[in-house]
Amino acid sequence: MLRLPPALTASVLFALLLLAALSSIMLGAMPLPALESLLTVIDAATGSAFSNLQSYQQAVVTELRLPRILLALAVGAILAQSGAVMQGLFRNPLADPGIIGVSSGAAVGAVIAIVWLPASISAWSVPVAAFISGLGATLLVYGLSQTRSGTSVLVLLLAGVALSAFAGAAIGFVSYFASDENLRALSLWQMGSLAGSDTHKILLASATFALLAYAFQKRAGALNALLLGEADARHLGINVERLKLELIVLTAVGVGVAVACSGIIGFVGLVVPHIVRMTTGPSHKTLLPLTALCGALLLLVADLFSRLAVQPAELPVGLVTALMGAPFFLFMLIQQRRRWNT
Amino acid sequence: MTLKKNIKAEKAMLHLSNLHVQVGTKSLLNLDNLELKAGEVMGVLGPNGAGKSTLFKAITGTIENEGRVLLHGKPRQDWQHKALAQHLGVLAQSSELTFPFLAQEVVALGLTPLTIGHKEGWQLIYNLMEHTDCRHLAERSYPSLSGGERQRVQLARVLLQLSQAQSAPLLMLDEPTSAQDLGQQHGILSLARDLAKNRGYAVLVILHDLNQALQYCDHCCLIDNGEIALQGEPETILTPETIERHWQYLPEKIHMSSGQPILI
Repeated sequence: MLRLPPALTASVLFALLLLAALSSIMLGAMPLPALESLLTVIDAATGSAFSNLQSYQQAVVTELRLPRILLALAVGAILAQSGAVMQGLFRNPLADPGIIGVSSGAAVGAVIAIVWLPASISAWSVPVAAFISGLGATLLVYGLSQTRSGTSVLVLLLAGVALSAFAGAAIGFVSYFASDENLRALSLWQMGSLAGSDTHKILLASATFALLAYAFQKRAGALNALLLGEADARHLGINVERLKLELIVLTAVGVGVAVACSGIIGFVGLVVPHIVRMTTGPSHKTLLPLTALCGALLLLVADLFSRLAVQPAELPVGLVTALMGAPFFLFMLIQQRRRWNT
Repeated sequence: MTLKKNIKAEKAMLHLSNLHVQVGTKSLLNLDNLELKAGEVMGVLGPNGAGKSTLFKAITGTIENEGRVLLHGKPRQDWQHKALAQHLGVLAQSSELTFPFLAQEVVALGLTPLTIGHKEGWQLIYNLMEHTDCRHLAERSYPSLSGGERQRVQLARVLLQLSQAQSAPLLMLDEPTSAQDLGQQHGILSLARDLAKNRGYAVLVILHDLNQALQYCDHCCLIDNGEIALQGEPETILTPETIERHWQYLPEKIHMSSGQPILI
């Protein structure tokens, strides 16, 4: 089997990431020169004054584009890693938080919090509600799909259908009571968008990513062993029950925060781990960090596209990832079809 | 294969007493007493559904059970996870893997409970793959291997897991020969016997081929209806009469020119 060395892949991804970030700063309804916009970023970071851009141009960079880029990086990395870990946990490459209904589950909590919990209670109410309902959804799907012979793909996908349908209905129900002001936010947010990025969200998403990346990496070896099946993993000295619970809670935190920051952005967690596995192999020790890089890159590019495609308006980024991801999902289904005739 | 120092044959490295497994109202296993010493190969025989695999699950704690499982005199549940993994290895009948790991990466998973260096680890991996005759498969993708090849890769993984044991490890093999061709069947059983005789492993092996039991096992226990029907040296217990009683087939026992008995 042909595989690329992880270090090479990481360098390539990193270079592409820088390129995509630079393009995202320059391009948009108002194109800006590369060097001057870079200097603006440096000014914003260090407090210097190198940039010769007009102040409204600088504002476009520092207040509109840069926050979006940072949020895209963190959310993309979180979604991709959560997807990779879920696939390891379910021992199935089709387990994406969006497909199996976990994102929709988290969305229900977030929507309820937006409409019924005044932000004055706490700025944390939306992410916490998204986490709790996301955790519930994960536990439900996981519990349902476990059979004596492993994870049932059929139940997994059907649970996703059921949960998404329920979430759609619940969100519709809540929207019925929402004020006009909330309504537009809700509908955009259901399709996923990075437009509402602010310092608070960026901090929350990056802190969550740092926590997850650390916690997942520590469990990479155990996750590899878990792929052998629960019995074999147990025989290898893994505390399987504890590992599973930890992974479920951690992925629910990831998905909950991602959903709270940017709505439902599907398929990143499906496509990215698959691509990385094909290039550098399935070991979680390399898969997880590369997945984070690749997920950040993918979401950044998707967001750039969503801003450029219908200028001066923009598409919700969730639509873009779904457009890219859904055909990919079909392709994987066709690939898997031979294996599960049940 | 390096095994830490010389492992002395002890009394009963595995001791089972009053082992009961019940699912609902149905009793699957009801076993009074069974002992296995380091350096011994014990065959677990019996017709389909007799409780052989249930016995394995009860020993490893994969299935809920009453009774005592002592490893080196210490109850299994008192062992630390990692220490237990280094002293108790199980080869399942078959193992699926969804993701395209290379065969050598699957073997490397045997390093999970160990703390040995990278270089030493990989040396051990290739060494063990040589022993289980799958060195040539090292760079192949595991899901693309045949059932027998996968089993040999898994065997190398289990042996790696046990390779640093401080005292005699217990190697449990669940039908290690069912997916293998004739040559590989004997290769695997010779290897198991060699590990018992030269490295002090205790080997517990489920076999369907009674001739293999005659040839490779020191002791056998015949399980039927969840209970030990007979226990002893294979030549003593494997008479045409007992075979007919438990398998409903009357074989003929003849002796080869080497004196080795075979059942036909």
